Amino acid sequence: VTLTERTVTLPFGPPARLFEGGDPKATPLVYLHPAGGISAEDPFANRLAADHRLIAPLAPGFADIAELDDVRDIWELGQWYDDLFEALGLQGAAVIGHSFGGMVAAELAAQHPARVGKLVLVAPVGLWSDDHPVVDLFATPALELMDLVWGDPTSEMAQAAKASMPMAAPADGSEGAAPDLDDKAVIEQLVAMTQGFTAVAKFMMPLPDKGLSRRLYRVKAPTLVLWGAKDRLTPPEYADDFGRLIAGSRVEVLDDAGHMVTLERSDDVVGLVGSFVGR
Amino acid sequence: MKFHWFHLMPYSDLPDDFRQKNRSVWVDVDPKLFDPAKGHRMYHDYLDELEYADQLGYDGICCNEHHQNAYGLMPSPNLIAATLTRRTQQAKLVVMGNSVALYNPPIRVAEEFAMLDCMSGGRLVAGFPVGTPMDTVFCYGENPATLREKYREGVDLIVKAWQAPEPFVFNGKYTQLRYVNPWPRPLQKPHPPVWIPGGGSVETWEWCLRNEFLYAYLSYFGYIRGRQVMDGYWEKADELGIDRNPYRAGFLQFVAVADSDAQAEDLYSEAALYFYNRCLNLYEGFSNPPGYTSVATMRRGIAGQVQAAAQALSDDLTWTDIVDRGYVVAGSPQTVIDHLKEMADTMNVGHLMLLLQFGNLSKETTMMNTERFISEVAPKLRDRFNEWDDKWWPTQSLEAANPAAPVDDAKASISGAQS
Repeated sequence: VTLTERTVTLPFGPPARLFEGGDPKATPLVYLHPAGGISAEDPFANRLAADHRLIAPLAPGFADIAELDDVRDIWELGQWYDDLFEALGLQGAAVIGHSFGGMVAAELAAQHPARVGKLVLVAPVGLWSDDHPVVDLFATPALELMDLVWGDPTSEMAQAAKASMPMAAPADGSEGAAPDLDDKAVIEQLVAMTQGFTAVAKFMMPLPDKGLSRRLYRVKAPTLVLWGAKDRLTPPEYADDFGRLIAGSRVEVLDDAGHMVTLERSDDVVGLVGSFVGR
Repeated sequence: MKFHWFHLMPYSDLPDDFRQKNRSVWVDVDPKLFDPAKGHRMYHDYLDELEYADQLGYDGICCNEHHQNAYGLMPSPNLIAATLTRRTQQAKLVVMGNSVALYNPPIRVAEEFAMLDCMSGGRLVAGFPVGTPMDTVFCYGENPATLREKYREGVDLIVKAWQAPEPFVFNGKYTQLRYVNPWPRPLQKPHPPVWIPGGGSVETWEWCLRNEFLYAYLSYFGYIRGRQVMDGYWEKADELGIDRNPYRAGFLQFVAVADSDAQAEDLYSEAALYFYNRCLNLYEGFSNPPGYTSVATMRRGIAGQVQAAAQALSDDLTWTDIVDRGYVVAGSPQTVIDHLKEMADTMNVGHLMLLLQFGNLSKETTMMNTERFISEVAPKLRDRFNEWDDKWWPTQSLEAANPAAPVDDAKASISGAQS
């Protein structure tokens, strides 16, 4: 499967860029991506599209950082997604969000409860505990961060992801490489990464809880919380926090996976999502 | 050309193994390393040095703002500047400056700078830096996605508030105020000169040029590396049809004057290496949060100077490294003159900010350096750029700004009044 892309104009803020795929007659599933963004080739989104009619909007700011100026805070972010759901005719929809996308999904379900009929949160951010702090994503060098997101940073998948980073160590094995700022392609890769991370930073810095803990009680949707047991970015203790704050929610912690549980345990995550939201 | 004596006010007693045992001099530096009694001594030594620079005839004396930083003990530069208004007479007070987005509401800066301008008799130069990522994002919790926009809005508010003939309403994106009406008002009209210390962000160049603000490139890496940034600034001026008046620009340079180049190493290398190897020991993760560097700057390929610091200083530097690379201009008066002439030729900078104290350089050596520079180096450079008019300099300073009234005078006038 390869997703197709289209743009939807909205009454407020920047236009939405949507990646879509799967059976057009099936019940929609909205997927909200993590800080790495989304593309037509996104492996997890394509796995979901095999079983569902997938709608995956790119978060504002990821394509063009200047667009973020029109979305001032977490309330306006919620407003933008509410408008998007309105434009797409979505009411009581199934929504899955991973990491940053999980926070957005939880905010949408709390701010505009009628929009979300089923909610799946995969290692969402959005809460804070002094006892088990979230890693400071914005003060961690990119290559270190790339080690932290995997349950097993030595796996083939993790190594391949790291090698594709613009600041990855050169093939000769020398350490401490800086990005080559004379190479235009490297700069564009850095710009793309930075725009996504800036968008995330806008809604997560300095601490990720912008009041979500005080409004999660408003979530009406049946909720599934999924976590990797080896998540070193957002410790699995947060699974219990989300479980406690969303009444009636179900928590599943998967072994042998870190923050990228969607790729590390892809089949199991897709299976759990399918049986929870239906097809 | 004008010469300004710039103090960073470093904590000068970091241990020898500081770099090995601490990941960063800034943000999360070990609080146990700060000894307040030593801090007391340092503040007074440093104030003595700034006052000495005034007495010797430096054009400006400069202070700046850093937070949670062991090489910059001035979270509030305005406290230092206020102290200097009392015991200095001639030098302009170049506050480089207040990181506007960190003052809420930013009208606080308009008020305090107006106080300083009145207290100093119109000697204030008002500096408005964005502030480094360490100061703004990590120490003060500002959001890197909105920092620059908030900063620009704050500067607009301050400059407007200084000139408004009546109280006004400010309905900004980041600040809303029903009654803007700062008291006191600045002595200089329409307002004190505005200097913008920058680290090499391309959009800052155009903003400075269009608003007639001075652009000061504050780098710790000397004029050889600084040239790329100043070239960009002057090219932007050409593009906008604005003249290359050297007084539109300032540059920071470490300078160390001695009898000979060899003696310079004896006198200054320990202090310089203290600065580069301890004070600039910066955790890479704090150097470039997403959004701090604009996309335009990234596309131009200019690494932010702090990012450059974190990357360039991964190995211990030697005296030869820092002198050969031009980080520190050091040597006999003639050597220093030659380098600074080359700097003036290549960078076209009219305002030279001098770091003559750095690292743990002693007060005695600092004062010697200060004296030798102004008497043996400055006269050979002073006439540079005389053909240009400096429109970024206080010109309305009062003749006799009142110094601190000695207690004896006060007693005399009291007894005179009683008799």
